[in-house]
Amino acid sequence: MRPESRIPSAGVIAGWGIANMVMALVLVGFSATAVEYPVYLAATILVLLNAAATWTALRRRHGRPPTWRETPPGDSILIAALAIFLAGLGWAFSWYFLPVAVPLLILAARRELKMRRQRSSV
Amino acid sequence: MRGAVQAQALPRPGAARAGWTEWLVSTDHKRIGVLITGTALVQFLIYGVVALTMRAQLARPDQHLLSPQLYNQFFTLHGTGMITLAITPFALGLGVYLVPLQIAAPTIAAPRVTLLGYWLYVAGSVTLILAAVIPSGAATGWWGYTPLAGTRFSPGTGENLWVVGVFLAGVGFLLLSGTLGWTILTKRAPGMTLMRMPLFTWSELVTVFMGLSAFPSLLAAMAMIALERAAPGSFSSNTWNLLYENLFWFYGHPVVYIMFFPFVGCVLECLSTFSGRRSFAYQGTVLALLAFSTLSMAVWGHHLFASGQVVNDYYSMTSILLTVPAGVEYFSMLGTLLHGKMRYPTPMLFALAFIPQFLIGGLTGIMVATPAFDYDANDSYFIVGHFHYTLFAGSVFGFFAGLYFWFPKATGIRLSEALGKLHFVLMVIGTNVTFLPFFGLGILGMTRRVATYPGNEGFNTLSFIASIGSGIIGLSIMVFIYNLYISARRKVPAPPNPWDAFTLEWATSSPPPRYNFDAQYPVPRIRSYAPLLDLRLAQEQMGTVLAGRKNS
Repeated sequence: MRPESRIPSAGVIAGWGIANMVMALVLVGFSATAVEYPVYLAATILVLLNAAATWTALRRRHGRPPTWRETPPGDSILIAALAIFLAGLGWAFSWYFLPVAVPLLILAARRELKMRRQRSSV
Repeated sequence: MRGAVQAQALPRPGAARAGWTEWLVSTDHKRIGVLITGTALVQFLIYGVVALTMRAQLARPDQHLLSPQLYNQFFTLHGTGMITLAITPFALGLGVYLVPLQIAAPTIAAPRVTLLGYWLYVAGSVTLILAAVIPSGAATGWWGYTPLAGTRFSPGTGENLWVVGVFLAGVGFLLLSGTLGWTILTKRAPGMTLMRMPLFTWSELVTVFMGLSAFPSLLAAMAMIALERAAPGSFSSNTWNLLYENLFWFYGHPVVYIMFFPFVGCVLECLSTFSGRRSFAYQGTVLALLAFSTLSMAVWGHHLFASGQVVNDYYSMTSILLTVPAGVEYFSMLGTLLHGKMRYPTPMLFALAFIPQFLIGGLTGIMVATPAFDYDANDSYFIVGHFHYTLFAGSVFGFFAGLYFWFPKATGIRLSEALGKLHFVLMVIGTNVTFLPFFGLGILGMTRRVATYPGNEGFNTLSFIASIGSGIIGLSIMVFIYNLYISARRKVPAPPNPWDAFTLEWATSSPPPRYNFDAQYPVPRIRSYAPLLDLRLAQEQMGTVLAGRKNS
């Protein structure tokens, strides 16, 4: 088996972002309209930001293996999703949904914060 | 576990909870993956029934089973549902389940965010179904072009619900893409370098790259319609309409590949396993996936050829360039089959059918990537045939290959092979009888999204054949459902590696334990993208050496 090349994780996403940036610049060269290429360039910037985040996270780890913590069940997540769903219905139908959605969202936030405090105290 | 896990003992507020409610709030990536895929499968059946109803309407000319308004609502629900709520979540759900197993991670990164992604997808699904079933439901197609989607032409609440539903599901998929990508990039087990990842994981990685770029564009497009509907006239000029179309298709075309790459990954894994050899040209395939996904971001403008408002040369060039990486992937698939020790269980049959069927979708895609042809074929049944060959004959076959392949791993029970093969045969016949006539109908001039047609246009025979084919697809899906039912009742147990496959998920129990690997099923040494094949070869070599010593 040939010796294996080691591609850095941040490098693969950065490379993908740069390749897209090149394609976006080629589009500019084709005299694209001012509606087309800003959409593409904005998306490539998002990818490059993701690459920077990956690079930072891996650099902080200094080559150590990833660590894991047990994750408690996501009761608060389910409540938050229900609240967001009701808020969405509120926008579509009527604001009457909001008095139900907002307390649920507050409840979800309180449960989540409580869980996180418990977890950090362990 | 190779020093990778440092789990802390935590209070478990839900430890006493039991049964299905535990599933709903579980942060185990495997349960979330099953929930996503199961929810998508249920919706696939619903929108399939919607499609069958439309085909019943179109079986004969001048039929009025559905009113024109209801027909518009049906194709809106079918298009939005299949793309946004069925096949995209199939693609991401398989990744959420399998990727941590394949890279020997005990769980997914940010499991609570992953769970939120799932529930937002469910919220979006419920909202979109509401959008279709209420009176004056959404009827603007899966793209919701402005000004049609504005309050002037679509005044009802249905369109509002459609916008909210797509937005919620889009946020959910963005979160799922983020956690999946983060897991692959930062949470791989020691020894699992990028170039040792299985091809399925690579296909998920390029999928999440595309998702992270494309889903924000969808959210921006939905925000535009929402603003226009809340304050009519905000985006009245044609520039805004064009911006919406560009934003929508900047999501709309990449999502076709989001619904494609993971299933290419499924097919590559099946071909390798059932040929009994490593994937041919692994590095070239990885490079092709990266190049394919990059080019896929640069082709969205070919949907706007007919608008006359985009640079046709660029999008035609990039669309035709896609044949190069696609060709490399095809060579990889065919090269893997050469000199292989072939076996033909159900997943292999679906994987093999994917190859020629997707080729038809791909080649007709190259035809419509040529502006001169596209001007003629645009908005005709030719286009409907093209994208159903890519998404149904390609992606859905890839999905079923993956489903039959990994079902024993996820559930611990085996599906019936006889029923699986019957499902396959009926589905191949149904798919081709349904979608091949679409090309003929398009050439004859039948336009899409028509609720009915007069009997003297020459569409009668082909349209009738297509409707018969759709019934055969429906029958094949009923066989599949019966297979699920009967297999769940019989409970034939699956061993950890029922297919003699090569990747890490097959090194653990079926179904895997909570943190994927444990003392009974440790992570084997990772020296390549096929660690179980390495292990088998090493054992065979050791056996040969020992036998040689014994003989001497």
